[in-house]
Amino acid sequence: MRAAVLIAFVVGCSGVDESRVNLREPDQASFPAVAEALAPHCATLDCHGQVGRNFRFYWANGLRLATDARPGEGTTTAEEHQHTYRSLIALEPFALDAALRGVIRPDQLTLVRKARGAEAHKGGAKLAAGSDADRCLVSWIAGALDSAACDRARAFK
Amino acid sequence: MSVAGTVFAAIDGKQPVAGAKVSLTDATGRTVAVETNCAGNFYLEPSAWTPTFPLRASISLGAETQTMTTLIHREASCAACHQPTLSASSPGPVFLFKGAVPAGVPGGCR
Repeated sequence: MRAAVLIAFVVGCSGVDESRVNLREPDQASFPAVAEALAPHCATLDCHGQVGRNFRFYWANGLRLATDARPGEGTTTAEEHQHTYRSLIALEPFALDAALRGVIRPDQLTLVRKARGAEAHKGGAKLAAGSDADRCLVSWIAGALDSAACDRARAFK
Repeated sequence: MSVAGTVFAAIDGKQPVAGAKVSLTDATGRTVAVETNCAGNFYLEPSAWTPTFPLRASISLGAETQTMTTLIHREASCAACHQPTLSASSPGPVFLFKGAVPAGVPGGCR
């Protein structure tokens, strides 16, 4: 019985195929809208706006990429969005690939679980499930960006 | 301490401001205010306030007010992010006057 449960558990997780190559990645072109929606919740200098974070999040009001740029000056640059995107997709590349293929749900990703506080997260629960920022993120991973939710989340102060 | 920091007159971080009002509002909507001492320092002990993060912060002296652009999500020490000098990872010290510092701003413990 115990073995059957173990096998069922392994099979249940087998959507994440770590032998895959040419992993899928979420849409980079629409990522700036997602990043700007998430940034007020995630990218402050006391959280993911730090170089020591494995999920390093650049933002106009937080960590800057260029050494001569300053927090609070100007807007988040395209290059900063690109670096944040690369950081995000590197977190769990195989699981992200599985989510993009519809094998697992976006809310099974560590990124989403931590943001929701469903998994240990030093910053606690930052995105309530179903909130605008959460919908923005999850819809982007699912390949059907909810732009309206992203816009509303971006207005969060 | 629950929250602590230092308020300076200008971004150069040379002159501390005494008597500046530091207002903090936590996620529950509870607001506390505390004044800086002669060294520009302020702090709140857990017995006085144990906030629920994130926090909103502003500082003021007379008619001059500065409101922090972002929320404080979990760092209780202002200086962890507000380091002595501006850089790509720090907005510099907490300061009150963006322009010239008017004469007579209180500060200094001598």
